[in-house]
Amino acid sequence: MAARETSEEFIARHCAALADVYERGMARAYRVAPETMAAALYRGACSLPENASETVEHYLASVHAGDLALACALIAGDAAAWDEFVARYRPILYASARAIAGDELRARELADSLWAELYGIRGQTGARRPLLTYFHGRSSLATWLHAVLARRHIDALRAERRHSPLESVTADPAINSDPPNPEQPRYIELIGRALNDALDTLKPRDRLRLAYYYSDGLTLKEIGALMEEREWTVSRRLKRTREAIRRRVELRLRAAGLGTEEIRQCYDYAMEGWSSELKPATGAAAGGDATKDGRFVQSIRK
Amino acid sequence: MARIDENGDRFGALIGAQFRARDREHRGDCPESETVAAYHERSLAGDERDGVERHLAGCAACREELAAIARASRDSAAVGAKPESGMRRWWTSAPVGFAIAGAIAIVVAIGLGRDYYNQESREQRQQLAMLSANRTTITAGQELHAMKRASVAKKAAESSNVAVPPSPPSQPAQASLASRAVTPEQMQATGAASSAIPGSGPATAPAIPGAAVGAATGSTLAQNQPSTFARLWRHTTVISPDGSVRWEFGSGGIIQRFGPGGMTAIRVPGVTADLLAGSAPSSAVCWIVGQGGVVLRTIDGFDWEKVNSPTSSDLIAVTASGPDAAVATARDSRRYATSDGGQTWQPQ
Ligand SMILES: [Zn+2]
Repeated sequence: MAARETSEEFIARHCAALADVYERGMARAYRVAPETMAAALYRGACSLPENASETVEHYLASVHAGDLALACALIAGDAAAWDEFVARYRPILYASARAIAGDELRARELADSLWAELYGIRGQTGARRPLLTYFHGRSSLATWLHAVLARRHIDALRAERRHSPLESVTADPAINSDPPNPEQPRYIELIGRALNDALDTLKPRDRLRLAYYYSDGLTLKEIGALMEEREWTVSRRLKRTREAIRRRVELRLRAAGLGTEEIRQCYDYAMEGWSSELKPATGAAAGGDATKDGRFVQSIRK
Repeated sequence: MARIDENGDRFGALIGAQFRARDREHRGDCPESETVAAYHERSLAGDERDGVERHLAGCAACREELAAIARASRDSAAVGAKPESGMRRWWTSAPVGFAIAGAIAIVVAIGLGRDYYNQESREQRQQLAMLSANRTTITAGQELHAMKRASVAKKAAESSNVAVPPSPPSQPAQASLASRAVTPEQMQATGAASSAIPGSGPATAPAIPGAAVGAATGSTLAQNQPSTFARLWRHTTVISPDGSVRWEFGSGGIIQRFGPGGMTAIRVPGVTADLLAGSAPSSAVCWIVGQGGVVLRTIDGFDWEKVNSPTSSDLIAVTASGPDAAVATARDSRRYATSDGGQTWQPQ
């Protein structure tokens, strides 16, 4: 939006569009006053990234007006709106929590903890900031709720992982039976940096696809669904990106004066150096799909 | 191994390890949940989407989140309404009462909920809502719907078992309805290009729709001052007889002109009053009147001047027949005419 536009300027400039959103959202049916709706839209416009091509006009034209009107009514504490919201979204919220958390107990806990915050608990100052004020209608209310639940769940999981003692990964002395090569630390650093730089040069989307696949262990099908690509497209692009990285890495290593045999050694050392990280990663594969587990271990053993 | 590289994917494993080494620990710069949600719905514009993907590629938590959102969307689609459907017969799911974390009890006014939302058509609900939100504003174009509305309202009033909802912690003041811009059709319907004045509702309205409907059937035109925003929100449109130029104006003396030459917006120096009505006898000449008896005139379509006023009370209508001649109507129904471009006015 135009930088530092006041809400009055915003309203004056977008009068017609605001009125349209108000009508479209049937905000009156939720007993939401025009200024309440406009204030929410102003907050939404302020939340748009600066210098992005998403203009305020586009936001106002595409906003999920009905959902935003409902949210405004909920924030205002309108009883009938809460009635409708609970009826419409409770089943969605529980199904969502089950899908996100996996087990029933955790899902209940996750979903139940959300209600109070959606409404906003009055703090000691007496002011409440309902979670719903962070909803601006840029997505549907349902998807926003999924996203909020997902973030809570994943943050909780990560906190647990951090606090649980790390699996002790003591290096197996059998692996390092060869006499140590004094070049090992240098090789590991070289290949690490080469790999890092190669990843940096990728287009964000290619890098993301790669992360889904190699870091998160998603299947081609899952990636296809997330990125709206066909499975074979995902596969083809992964291969292409991967080959590009490999070429780039080897080029870097050769430029550093390494020959074919030394490059092979680089890979070996890197695998040893990172094998401790590979192990927990397989267990953390999203979704816990058993068929996917263990492939890193498998590939290392080969 | 059903992966893209059948020969033991050591290189892939390295890539994976590198990603994990790069993953950020703290989530301070993660996009807002709503942005992630919009990304999931594929509704982000190109550069913002690229930005999110750049972040995702370096943030395992957000990737995990996105995968979870995808699962949630898929699984909840079966149980819930599609977003924004709103018209579902949800009351069959017995939504009676719900306690929020032991803190806030939401008691459901069953009868109210049912009768209010138990409307099949969007149109009916909308009409009902128009009545229920406040005392209705009557503008020139709305009379056609009056009968239809009255019947809907009657039905609603009959069926409302008015239950008393718990008073929520903060009930917003019901502000007056925004008037839509007057459409060209409406302009033509009113004959000369003089605009309709939307009435405004009282600052407080019953929280119970049923009760509001009852009050609204009286169709009183309230004179209360609307809230600040409702004034800002409201604007009036005047279109030149040939349709080539449109002026929009409202609160604070701001006038926007749309037409050949694009859009221009001006505020007449020293005028901050709300502008309430206008009349354009040609694409160059337009008169606008408003609060406190303010009278503005343009004779080239762009530059506006404040002319003498016949009164200090609000002028709520004007009919102009040229650059010199106009008749203005005050809120107290008195009418004043000028034939010298607003230098002098005669009571009618
Ligand atoms: Zn993130």
